[in-house]
Amino acid sequence: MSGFDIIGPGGYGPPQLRPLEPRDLGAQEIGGAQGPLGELSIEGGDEASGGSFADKLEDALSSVSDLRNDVKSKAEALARGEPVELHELMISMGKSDVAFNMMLEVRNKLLNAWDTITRSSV
Amino acid sequence: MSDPMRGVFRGFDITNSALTAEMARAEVIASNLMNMHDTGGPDRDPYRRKTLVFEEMLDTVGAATADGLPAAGVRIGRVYEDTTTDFTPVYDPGHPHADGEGFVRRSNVDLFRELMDMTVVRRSFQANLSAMRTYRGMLQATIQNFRS
Repeated sequence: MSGFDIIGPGGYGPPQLRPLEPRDLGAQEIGGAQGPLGELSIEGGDEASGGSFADKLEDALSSVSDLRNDVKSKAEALARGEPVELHELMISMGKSDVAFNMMLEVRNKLLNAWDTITRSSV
Repeated sequence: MSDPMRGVFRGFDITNSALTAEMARAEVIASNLMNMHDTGGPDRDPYRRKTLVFEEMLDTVGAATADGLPAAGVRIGRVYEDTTTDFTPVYDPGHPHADGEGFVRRSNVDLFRELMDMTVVRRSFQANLSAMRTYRGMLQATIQNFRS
């Protein structure tokens, strides 16, 4: 091979890469998924993490509402002339948008599940 | 109860800090351009060019990996004054700030270098905006993918 394959400090060559491990990619452990909606874990009804499914759903809804309030307060501050960065407001709007769409999809899935269960003949 | 939505929006927060840092850099360049003709006076120096350094922020609140803390964005370090170049004296005896021999000290701001830096800052800003757009697009596509 040519002399360009010398690896080491000050030498040319492919960079020394540490092999990626699952934790670098944010892989979740199975059996305790930490998805966007938090502790809606596979075990379900985990008393250690506190609260029932309804409580967790309520927390998720309140965080969506918090994001929306954040957008509102930032927009009002910007309109009043306070030093709010414009990109902060746009990013807050993006976050609120994504969170709302996520909540909508979860709601649709729950409604579909409810329909399926009630329509299934016993 | 921790905020359920936090993990999803780390990309947004990182890009937010990057955009803030780029805006600050643009402000420093604007300040340099604004003051570049400041020749000082008999008792003070001309304007010395300012520059700033970025620092990596580490996520101390989130989970720590074995190798250290994951990066959580960028922030402005200190604003430095450029002491590597001197003030250039220019012969102009009619200037009010001319010294005894008729020399005026000019600021060490180089116009073309500032314009070039401005272009770089604009491209960095666009790159960060594009990263944010990509991130948001990925999230939206994930949500839409599960629409039945």
